[in-house]
Amino acid sequence: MLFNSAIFLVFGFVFFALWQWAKNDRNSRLILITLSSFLFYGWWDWRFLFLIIGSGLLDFFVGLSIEKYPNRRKLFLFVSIIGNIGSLAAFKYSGFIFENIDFLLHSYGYNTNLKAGIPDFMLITPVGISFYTFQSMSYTIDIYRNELKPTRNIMQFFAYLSMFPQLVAGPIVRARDLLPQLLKKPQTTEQDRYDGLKLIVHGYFKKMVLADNLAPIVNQAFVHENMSNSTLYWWLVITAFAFQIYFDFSGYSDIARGLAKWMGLNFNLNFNHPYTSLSLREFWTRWHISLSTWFKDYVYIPLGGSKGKKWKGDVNMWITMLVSGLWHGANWTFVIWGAIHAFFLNVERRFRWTKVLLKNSVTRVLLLLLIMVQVWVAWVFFRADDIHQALFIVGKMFSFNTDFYTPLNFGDFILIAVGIMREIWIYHKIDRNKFYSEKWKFLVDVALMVLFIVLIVFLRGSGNEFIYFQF
Amino acid sequence: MKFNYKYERTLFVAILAIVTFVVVIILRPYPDEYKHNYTKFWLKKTINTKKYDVVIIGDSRVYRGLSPKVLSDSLGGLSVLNFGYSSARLNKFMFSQAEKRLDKESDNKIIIIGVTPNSLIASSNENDHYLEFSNMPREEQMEVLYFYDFLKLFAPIRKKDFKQTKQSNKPIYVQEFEPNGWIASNKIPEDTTEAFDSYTKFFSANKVSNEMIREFYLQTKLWVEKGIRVYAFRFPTSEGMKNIEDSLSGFNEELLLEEFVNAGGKWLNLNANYYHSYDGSHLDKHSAIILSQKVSLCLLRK
Repeated sequence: MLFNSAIFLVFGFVFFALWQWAKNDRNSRLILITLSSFLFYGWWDWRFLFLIIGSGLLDFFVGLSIEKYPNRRKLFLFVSIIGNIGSLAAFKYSGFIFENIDFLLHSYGYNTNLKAGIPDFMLITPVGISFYTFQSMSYTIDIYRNELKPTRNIMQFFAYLSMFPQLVAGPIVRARDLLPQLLKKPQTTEQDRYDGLKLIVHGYFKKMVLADNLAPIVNQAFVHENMSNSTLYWWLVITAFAFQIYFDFSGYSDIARGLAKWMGLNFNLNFNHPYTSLSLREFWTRWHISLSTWFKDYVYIPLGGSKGKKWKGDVNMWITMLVSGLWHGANWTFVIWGAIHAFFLNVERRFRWTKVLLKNSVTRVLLLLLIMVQVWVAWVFFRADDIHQALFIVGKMFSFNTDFYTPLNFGDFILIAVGIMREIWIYHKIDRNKFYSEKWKFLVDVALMVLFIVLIVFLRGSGNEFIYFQF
Repeated sequence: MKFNYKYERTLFVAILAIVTFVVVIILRPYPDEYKHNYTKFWLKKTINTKKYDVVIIGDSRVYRGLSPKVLSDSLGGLSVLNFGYSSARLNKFMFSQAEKRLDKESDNKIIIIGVTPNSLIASSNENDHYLEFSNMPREEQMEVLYFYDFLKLFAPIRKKDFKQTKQSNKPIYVQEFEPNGWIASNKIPEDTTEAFDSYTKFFSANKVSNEMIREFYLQTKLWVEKGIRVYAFRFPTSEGMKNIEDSLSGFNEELLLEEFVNAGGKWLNLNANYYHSYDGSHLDKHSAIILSQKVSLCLLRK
């Protein structure tokens, strides 16, 4: 079920009507969340419900076993990790793995077609598999590390694992944050409800008005890549994509956080104006925060983090970024996306060049642009269908030709400008209370809400799926 | 008035949003209704469960060229359905769909087949036009048939909605969606050779299928055995188009007629000179009415 679908409106209405009745009783609350979440997920394809239930049952019982048999904790953790990574490998990466094995064997003269042997249903990537698998895995790892007590209430566990607002595209919520919240009687104030509404409206605006209207610019460019050789055009297209993916994904996170607020729950911030970052390191503390902290806590730190020799820290960072790239999709383009970030992060760590440009406001703007250039180049690989296409586009971006013809129309320029304004300029002004005084804050707030609601209905784009569903 | 209370703030947003919605709904431009009328026409024609005494089958020449109302009036009130679709083929699938729409209880069960060489050519995308509507998801069907008038108020506003009054140099395709499956058509200005190039190309690469012709005879025989009267005729078109079809498509009218009559069908001979095509292929509204009268007269005679 998509947040931006009519059926979700009905679902949401029924859920919150029942929530008023169920929220005060713990069991009713947990059962309602779990069953509604299963309905939400099963609406897309009910067969894959068995996968989430299987994955959940494994980790629920592994969690209990780690506590009961502390001497065999490593074995149980191993079982959990193999189970979770195994289901990811089977349902998300099997095609990619066998395709590459076939490629390798072909180069040694063996004419194999292992990919053709994969059953059809395993070639469909279940929506949100990477999100709930990571969420489930973090539960057992935290228990293994004695950072979390396993729950004995299976409904509480499944309510945590399948929580519909964030089930298919995050934010990835840690068990230690959410499990205790689920047991408490939810208390919501008028302020919470208003804040929830505000997050939901802003989230839908980002997704349906900004991201969905930017999508055709990007799709057209990537489908007809020979349409223009102009350097300017390709920089504009990648700028459009940078904002499309940001508004799409952060919009989803905002809606999820807003719905959680209405339920009396709190999900942590997942995006914090990443394109205002003045270093790539800072970018990763602002972009998809729940995933970057997951990788930091469960991959980077266990590998040794930045302790010890510098080169070891670099290697750990490279591994983390490459795995993060692969997490996003079963394609070499995603691995290269991770590698580009790792490379620029490595240069930043070694030479600390960004600090030099922090001196005054002019050099800070230059720094902001330089960070964007790095992120934009990486986005090309993230969006491209294959490496060949990505290299072609990067080639155009850095050919610095004087061809200023772009197949974009005036509306496209306006949209890109709105993206930049909303994210960078207004953020700087509003968040620092320079844009308007406190006296007008309330009226501007209400006017913006009304404007966004009207724009969501009358200027919505073509209603695409959320980009991160595929991950 | 102070709006410091949080409850008032939400209420204020709701009231202001509703007022703005009403203003926008009144002032906004609405999209051209043509697309909706087109979809609704074809959807109703496709999913309609009503049964008829007379069912006409064939391709776009048929659904633009025969008026069920004129036929019905001339045939003493028999119910008539024009079951033609773009590029529809005279094959088992369309035969069975046509038969399903025939009233089994009627004393005057009639199938009229508008034969064109195009409808006897095997194609990988045959009957796509019919399938597009028969396979339309249920929610979309409901939206088109029942909720359109409400949903259009909230449809996204597009730049092209503002341009409707702008004059265009393109010819205007006048299409009136009539009940029971007829589209009365005209083009202004008309180009009486417009279709020649595409048909010439098509028939140079594609020929009439003997397999489909055999199916056509067999089906005629089966229908006649079931007590259904089967009429067929070569659907009138422009002289130029007829020449292209005769010289390139491999269509042999004499042979088809003979075998069809042997199978128990009744062939209608219609003088093609009465009719006018606006694009070299399809008949205009006036000709369609004349043809419908001629066909009904022939039916009454036979």
